[in-house]
Amino acid sequence: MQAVPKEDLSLVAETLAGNQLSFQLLVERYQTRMFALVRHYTRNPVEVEDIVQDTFLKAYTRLPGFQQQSSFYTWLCRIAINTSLDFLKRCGRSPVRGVEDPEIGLTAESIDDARPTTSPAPAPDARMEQREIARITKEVLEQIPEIFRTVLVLREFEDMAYQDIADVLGISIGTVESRLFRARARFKDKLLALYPEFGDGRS
Amino acid sequence: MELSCKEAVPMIGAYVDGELSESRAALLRKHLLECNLCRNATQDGKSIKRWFAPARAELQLSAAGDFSIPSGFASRVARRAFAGDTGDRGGSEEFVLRPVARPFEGRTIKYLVAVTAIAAGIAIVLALAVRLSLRPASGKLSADDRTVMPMATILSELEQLNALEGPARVLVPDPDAAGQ
Repeated sequence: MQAVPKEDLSLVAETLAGNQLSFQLLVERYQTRMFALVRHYTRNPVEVEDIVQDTFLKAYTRLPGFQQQSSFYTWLCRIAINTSLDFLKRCGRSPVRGVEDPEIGLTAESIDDARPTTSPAPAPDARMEQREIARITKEVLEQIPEIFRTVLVLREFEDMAYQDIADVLGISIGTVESRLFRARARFKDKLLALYPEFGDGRS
Repeated sequence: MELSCKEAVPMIGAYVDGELSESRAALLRKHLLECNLCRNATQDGKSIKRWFAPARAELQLSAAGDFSIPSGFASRVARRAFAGDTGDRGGSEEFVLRPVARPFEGRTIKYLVAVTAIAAGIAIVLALAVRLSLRPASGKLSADDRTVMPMATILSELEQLNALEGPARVLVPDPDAAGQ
């Protein structure tokens, strides 16, 4: 064990030089976060393990092409998300991609969403258990289109800055902003559809 | 510049996330002081965010004692990687990594030369423009960057906003309290 953990980039360099242990250290460093990320796409633990394993195997294969423009972690997230979506597609559980094209952002027809509404904001009840809120949040997340779920997960669970989300998804910061805006609106709608009782929170 | 609601609403998420630049945040705060509807929308944004705090805490709790990562996972994966397993399972490439631009391929050189030429042209024009702008102007000297506000103004705006938002929605629980 080393007193000071090695930087990702030196572990990457050592891996490229043929050091298997360095790659193992990289996997150990990020495996927990990758398992958590992939669990947003499937609950089956065997599938999660397969996807995370393939994520790291692909990362190793593509390591020579790692541009170092983004952090190793955001690069890994990008591979994990693509591997998850690829997996779901292959087993016929095609993730719901945006029906409306989110890349267009807030233009023409979608601008109508962009007005303040008076519908009540759902807020978790103070008496509710943290575990119950977490369960409902996951349930709602699983029911909104993948494209919106992914930005919400990266922002709210991975705590990523907009720039990092843009890097992971290969989109602009402006698109991150508008996609998150619409993702939260979807989350709220789905939440109120499933649990209308939370809509009374403001009275 | 005044914001309309249509311009303001899409900015609210980034505002709540603390991801708006100060100049855009200042514009939005100005609008929020005047617009009750958008102020409510901001409260909504904060409420939605509150759903995720307990979920994130739960997730971190379960990750802390992560039972579901099989022991020896990392060493096994490293071994397979070095044994030549690429992790590609014959799926479509559609969702697999989009190609990252590779520098120094055939046409790239030509492209770089063209870009350099254009950049040089722009630099010359800019240099001339800067020289022109350095000439004494006839107008009055003034600080015209209105987007940068003094801290005192920002603070007083925030206080006003807090006062406006304050009693309206206290029933939104403190996320920390939810866990207890």
